[in-house]
Amino acid sequence: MVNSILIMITKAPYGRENVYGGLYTAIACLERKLSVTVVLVNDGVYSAMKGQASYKTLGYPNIEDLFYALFPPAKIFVDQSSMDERGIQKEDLIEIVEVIDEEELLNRIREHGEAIITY
Amino acid sequence: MKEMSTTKTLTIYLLTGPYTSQCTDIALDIAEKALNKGYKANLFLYMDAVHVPKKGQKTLRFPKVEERLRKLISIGLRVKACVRCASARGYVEGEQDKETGTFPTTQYVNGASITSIYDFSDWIKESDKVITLGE
Repeated sequence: MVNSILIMITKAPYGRENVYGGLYTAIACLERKLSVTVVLVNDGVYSAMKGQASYKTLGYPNIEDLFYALFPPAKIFVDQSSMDERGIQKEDLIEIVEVIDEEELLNRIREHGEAIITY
Repeated sequence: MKEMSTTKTLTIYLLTGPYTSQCTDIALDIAEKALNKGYKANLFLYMDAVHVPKKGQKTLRFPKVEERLRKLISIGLRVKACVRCASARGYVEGEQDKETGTFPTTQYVNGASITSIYDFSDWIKESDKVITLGE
């Protein structure tokens, strides 16, 4: 039986429903006592930017707030190479995320990827 | 003492609606194969995938997703759709049934229900494999 889930977010926030889908699913899985790991790769790294004002500007729920609803106990990892490709620095991101390189990313997938859901 | 089930369970998590991509057909193909091999199969519908069980689909040349879904439900496929996604798209027609936990709709084929995302979490826990399709 599956006890842990890895949610991989690959899309940027707000332009599509995907990031909301991933994070709401993560919250539901935590409620049901599953171990939850969230990994942000490719355009998914934009989801963890600091200072999002979506409610004020778009009228959409704030994704930054959803990350704080997850952590802890969920762990949130951001792919360093995806950040580098987009010119994003660690200081640009919310402080609860952990930046990891590709080898560490692979290890997290091995450790926590009993079931992987990609958004 | 409760006897443990030896039948393996597959849960498919579908994120896109029918016809815009091949994902729904692939999900139904996989579910059909699993059921025919004697596995339990679950299909959880999220985001635009909540359109999949809509009644009255008419296609000219493409396989009719509705017909395939009805057939698979009749041989044991369990189908649930997320209430948040279904409500946003106009499928929820009333309050939650306290006994079943489902939300009413007249727009879905029989056997497909609208329910909470928490049911997906429960399905994950009882599954041997979880597959995501769609983007």
